[in-house]
Amino acid sequence: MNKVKINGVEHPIDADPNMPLLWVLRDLLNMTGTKFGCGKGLCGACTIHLNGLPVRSCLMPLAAAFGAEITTIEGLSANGDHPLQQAWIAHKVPQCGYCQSGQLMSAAALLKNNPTPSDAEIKDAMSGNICRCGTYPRIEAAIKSVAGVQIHQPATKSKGAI
Amino acid sequence: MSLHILILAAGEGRRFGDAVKQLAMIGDKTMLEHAVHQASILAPARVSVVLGFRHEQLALLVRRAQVVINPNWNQGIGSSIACGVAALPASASAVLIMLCDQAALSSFDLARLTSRYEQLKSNDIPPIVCASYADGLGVPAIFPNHYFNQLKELNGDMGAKHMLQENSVISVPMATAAIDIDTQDQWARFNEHKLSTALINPRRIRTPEGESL
Ligand code: FES
Ligand code: FES
Repeated sequence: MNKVKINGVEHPIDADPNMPLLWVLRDLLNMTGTKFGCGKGLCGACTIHLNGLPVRSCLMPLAAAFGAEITTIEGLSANGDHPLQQAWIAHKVPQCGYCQSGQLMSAAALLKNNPTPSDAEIKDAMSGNICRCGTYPRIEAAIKSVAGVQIHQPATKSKGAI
Repeated sequence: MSLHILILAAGEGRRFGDAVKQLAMIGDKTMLEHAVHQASILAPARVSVVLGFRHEQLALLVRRAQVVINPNWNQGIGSSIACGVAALPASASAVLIMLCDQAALSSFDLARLTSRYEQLKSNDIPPIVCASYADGLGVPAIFPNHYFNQLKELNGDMGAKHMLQENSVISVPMATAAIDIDTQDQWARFNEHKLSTALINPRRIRTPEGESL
């Protein structure tokens, strides 16, 4: 049986290799932190990391995950205390919250690959994540607060989970 | 370090007649938007499109991807590849090159290429991973960054195909990669065969029996 590594844990999965990962996560593994928005790759609600890079899991086949490392919102941090998650709380980012796990996953991938993004780079990386409630200004502020920490206090950079 | 996707959409598509090929509808999107969309599912914020012919008009359709204008687009595909690769950020560890008119390609196909590449990228010298179909090897193809200089030197009408022959490559069978739309006839046939419906819902596209994923 095929195995898929999600948040560091190997899961044996018996499903059509063409099944979208989002279905695997939500319906087979009952990991419902990742949300279904459009199912067409348009909204970003289903964003997860495939080998550290953001992808839309609604249109990503299970087969793409064989041999890869998947991270979902459940695995972003052990105790829900990723610096971005803390910033999200501090900035009271969510309104209804539906889009936010996708927002966090996009933001986390951005900062991991580019710890000090410019405003334009933040806008760019986040442009595929749609928020019906319009929380964009708070999302940006929260990301900048974390990116800022890294710019001004390089000493904290090495131990950061970002 | 990450993989970027480069979509080549600079050509005039002369065989398509008077209409602008990049604007032909595939399902509910123009061919150009369709290609960008499939790529951004896999690589949000890491997609670039090379435009040339009618770029002022076409650039307006490109969202969530970087537009690279090739002023020498009429010299041929090699010049567009060189131009696109030169514009990649320094953090690009590899580039997946695909054609805008490979209208049957879905994010599922691209994911099969990238997942194969992921398995091989930690090799001492990561190989090229490309599609194979009846005609042999071709794009979409992933080139690790040690090939970037060679790609930047391409010019004129000569694409990257010879690089697939000259190097040892890993290929992934991909029937959908064989379909590229050159003429209005092919476009009509493509839509007629309801391939475009399958594209709106790629879950309906099945991998051929025995194909390794
Ligand atoms: S549910 Fe995947 S992008 Fe909207
Ligand atoms: S918080 Fe409601 S959709 Fe974003």
